[in-house]
Parts: sequence; structure tokens; C-alpha cells
Amino acid sequence: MNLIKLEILLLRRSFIIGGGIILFFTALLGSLADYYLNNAELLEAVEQFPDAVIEGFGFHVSVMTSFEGWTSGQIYTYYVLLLGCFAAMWACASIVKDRDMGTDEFLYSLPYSRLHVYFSRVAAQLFLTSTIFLLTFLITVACGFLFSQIESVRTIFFIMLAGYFIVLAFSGIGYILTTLLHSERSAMSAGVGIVMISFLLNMMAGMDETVSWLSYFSLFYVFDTKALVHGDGLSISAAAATLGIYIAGTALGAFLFKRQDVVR
Amino acid sequence: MNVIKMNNLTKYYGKNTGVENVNLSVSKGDIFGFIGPNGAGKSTTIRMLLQLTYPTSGSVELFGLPLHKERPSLRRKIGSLSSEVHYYKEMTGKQILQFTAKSHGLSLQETPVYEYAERFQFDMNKKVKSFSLGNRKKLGILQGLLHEPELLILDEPTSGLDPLMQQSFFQLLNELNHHGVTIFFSTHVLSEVEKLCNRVAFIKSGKLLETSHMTEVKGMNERVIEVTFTEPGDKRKKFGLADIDPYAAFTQGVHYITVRGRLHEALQRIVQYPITDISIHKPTLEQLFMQHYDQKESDGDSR
Repeated sequence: MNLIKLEILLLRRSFIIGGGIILFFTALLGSLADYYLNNAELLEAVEQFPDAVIEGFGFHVSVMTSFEGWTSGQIYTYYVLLLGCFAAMWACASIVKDRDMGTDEFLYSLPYSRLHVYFSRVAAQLFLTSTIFLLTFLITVACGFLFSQIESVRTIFFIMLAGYFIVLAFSGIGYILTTLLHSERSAMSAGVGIVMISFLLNMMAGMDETVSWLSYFSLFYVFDTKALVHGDGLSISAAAATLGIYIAGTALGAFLFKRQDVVR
Repeated sequence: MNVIKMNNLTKYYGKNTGVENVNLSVSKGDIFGFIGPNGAGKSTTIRMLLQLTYPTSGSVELFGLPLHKERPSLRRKIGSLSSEVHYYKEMTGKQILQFTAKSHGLSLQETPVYEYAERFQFDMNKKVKSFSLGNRKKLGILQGLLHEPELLILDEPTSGLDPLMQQSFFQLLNELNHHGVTIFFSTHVLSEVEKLCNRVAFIKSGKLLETSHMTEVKGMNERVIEVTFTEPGDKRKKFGLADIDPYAAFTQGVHYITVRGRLHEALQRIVQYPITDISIHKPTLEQLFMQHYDQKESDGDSR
């Protein structure tokens, strides 16, 4: 067993639970797509929702004319929210969990450098997050073919990829926090907290023009999924921004951790 | 050759002192006892040796290599055991040992771990979460020794082990030492030091008080007499106790007199006066060191 396998072993329960919940919701929402898309009365009712709810939960009726549009509004929102929470929790707990379990002395007295330990954890979490992203994409496509009609698999892939980049950005923030936190419990709270704050800021920004600037502080605002449905490609600047946060957060976390004291 | 060398090693935790200006060297083949009460700075020093923490100032060298930057490959030469051993609870003892062996580039079959497991009657197939403290400690011993290190750094290694296992452990340490392994271990148990060590150092409140050869410490041949006289009050002057021990103490009706050799002469003098209670015992290692330290200080002052 190497360090990457060790991290996967330590996260396997959380991965099964998190992955299970995300895939279940994806399958549920994917299979119900046509029920909503073909229900004009329901869509009319949805249009009457407050702007904040429409923005926050992606109820954009204008794009809800296709399975791709449904994916961009519904599956995407819940997938980013849920996978973001799990990925951020894993990242926040990367280092602090050993401090909490008391296993840090054992781990750091092995002939591995601190950076080797750190980046093995990052790699293992990237593998788990990517696995859930790919499975979610495959289930969405499968639901589209089975219960609805798909016009462009490429569009669905870009929508899910945009969500994946946002999830990675949440992980990046988590890697900075993991060196500053003192318990695994606080890491869990911080992980869920940063995703929820981001989600709520985007939702509140939709309440009124005067507070629309709040969305600039939300990762949920980075990609325009409506534009993706209309056939625009993935925004390079948005992809660069989210991947930039991920890389910068990971690098800063490594820098802070490299010479951090192991104390009781 | 110095296996461990500390030069003015200092560690502060904010405003709190971990250790201050520790100068110490351990030669190849030594069994070095690092003694001190709880909170003295033993674990802080050991953590710096293992690069778990970094010094605020001063330096430390292992095998002649300074540790100002991380040296993971050096850990292949070092085996360690911390005072509180914790492992991943969902893993079995065997998985922990395999993981450790792999980190050293070994397979478990290449290591003496099965021999040690038999010796310590350790079942490595159980999960860590079912282990008692004693079994966790046994796993810690196996994990620290499996790569046959040249230097062992042990922090309170016997806490949690039953007396029989402690005996086996000391026997193993002696055998390893005969094969050239240098051992540096911290403890607050005097008997462990007496059994094993050829050199000792005493640390208190983050400061190294004294480093000695065990033969010197044993050669002090000191006894502490605790005596309560029938006549109440401080009798140090009246009964001439200060002539026996200039540092004799008086606390709550009891006189504490430390005698080096010539015990019968001291007793003859004391029993001239009516006594309510008397006891004679060996001083603790801390007392020995403190007396030695006080004596050195006063010798220095008088010079």
C-alpha cells in the first residue's frame, strides 16, 4: 500500500456515501426531466418563483426546453452543491485528520517528505472527485437516452465539466484551510461552509440589482450554463479562473504545510 | 562518531518555552537515557530529532547531517516510538506494518517483524481499533524496528507495556545495542535508566541540567535520611545536622539529610537524640541530579 492507496482507504466510506447520494440524485432528476419539460403549467408556475430562487436553484425556464437545458439547471446545481461539499470536506481534512487521530507522528516519521504525503493526498482526492464526475456524466447521459431525448452529448459534457472545475476550486480553498484548522470536525464544517456560502451568495445576488455584485464572490457564478446550452463552448477564462484557484490553493497549502510543527 | 549532536537547541511555542539552549551529543553505540519530569521538554526535543517540529534557534545533526531542511531519506536509518502510539483504526496491524515496510522499500518478509511478533506475542491480523494500549505499543515497537535502523529514538517506550513485555523489550534493546544500534530514549522511570543506559542527561523546565555517565551517577552512592525528632522544631543547627549535609532541609517537622558514603557515622550522630520516626532511602534520579547540579553551581560560585 502506498500513500495514495492509504488516502483512498481512509476516504472510502465517505466516497461511497457521497458518490451514492450524488449518483442517486442525478438518476432521480435525470429520469424526471421529461415530466417537468412537458408540463407547461408547472413551468409557468416555476416562472413565478422569486428571482433569488430561480438563480440559486437554476430554474431557468428559458432553457428548460431540452434535456440539456434541464441538466444545466437542475442536475448541475445539485451535482456541484453535493460534490463541492464532499470534495471541500476531503480537502479541508487532508492534513488535520492525522492531527485529530494522532497518526501524524507515525506518518511523518516515515521516510516520506511532507510534500510527498501532501501531494499523494491531493492526487487521491483528485482521483475520487474525478471518478464521481465521470460517473455522474455517464448517468446523466444514460438518463437522457433512456427517459428523454439528447441533442448534444458534448453540451452535457461541458456542463458537467464546468461543475467539475468549480468543485476543484472548492478543493483548492480547502487545501489552504487544512493547514490552519485544528480538528476534523471543524474541517467538515469548513468544507460544507465554503460551498454553502458560495451558493447562498449567488442566490442572494439574484434578489435585486443592488446586490447583484454579491455573485462576484460566488464560484457558482463563474460559468454561464445557459450559454453552454445555447451551444457556446466552455469559457476559457472561467476554466482558467477555477483551475487557477485549485492550483494556487494547492500550492499555498503545500507551502504552509511544509514546515508546520506537529504538536499535541 | 556522534550520531546525535544538538547545539544550543531552542524551541519556543509562542511565549512558552519548549527547550532552551540544549547542548548534547550521543555517540555511536550509546544507550542514552533522557530523563526528566512531565513537561520538561523531552518530547519537544525528540520531535525535533524526528523533524516533526523545527527549532526556533540552534541546530541538530543526525549522523553528521544538519536537520535545518527536511531529510526523509535519513529516516531509513532511524526507528522511532512515540509515547502515545496511534494508528489508522480501520487497518490491521499487518497492513500498518506492510505500509511501513513499503515506505522503506522493503517487503514484510524481508524484515525481522515475524520474529519480533512472536517474541512479543502480538497478533498482527487484528484491526487496530480492537487493540489495547499495550498492543498498540507492541505494534509501535514492531513498526519502529522492522527496517533494522541504526538509531532508535524512543519517547517513554514502556508506558502501557506490562512488566513481562517491558523485560522482553529491554532484552531486545540490549541485543540491538550489542549489534551496534544507538539508542536514545526518554523516560521518567529511574529503574529503566539504571537497567539500560550507559549515559544519561537530565532535563527540567526546558533546560538541560546535567549529562553524565551512568557509572558516575551510580558512584554517588547517596542515601536520603528522613528523620523526625521527638523535640519539635528545626534542629539542623542544634543537633549539628548541617555538618553532615550543608543542604539539609526541614519541612513540616521532617529533616531531610543526604549522605554520601559513611552512613553509619551519620546515623550514630542522629541517634544521639530522641527520635519519633526515621527512614532511609535511595534518592530519586531527579534528586541526585539536582544535588549534583546544585553542588556544581556552588562550586562554580566559590571559584
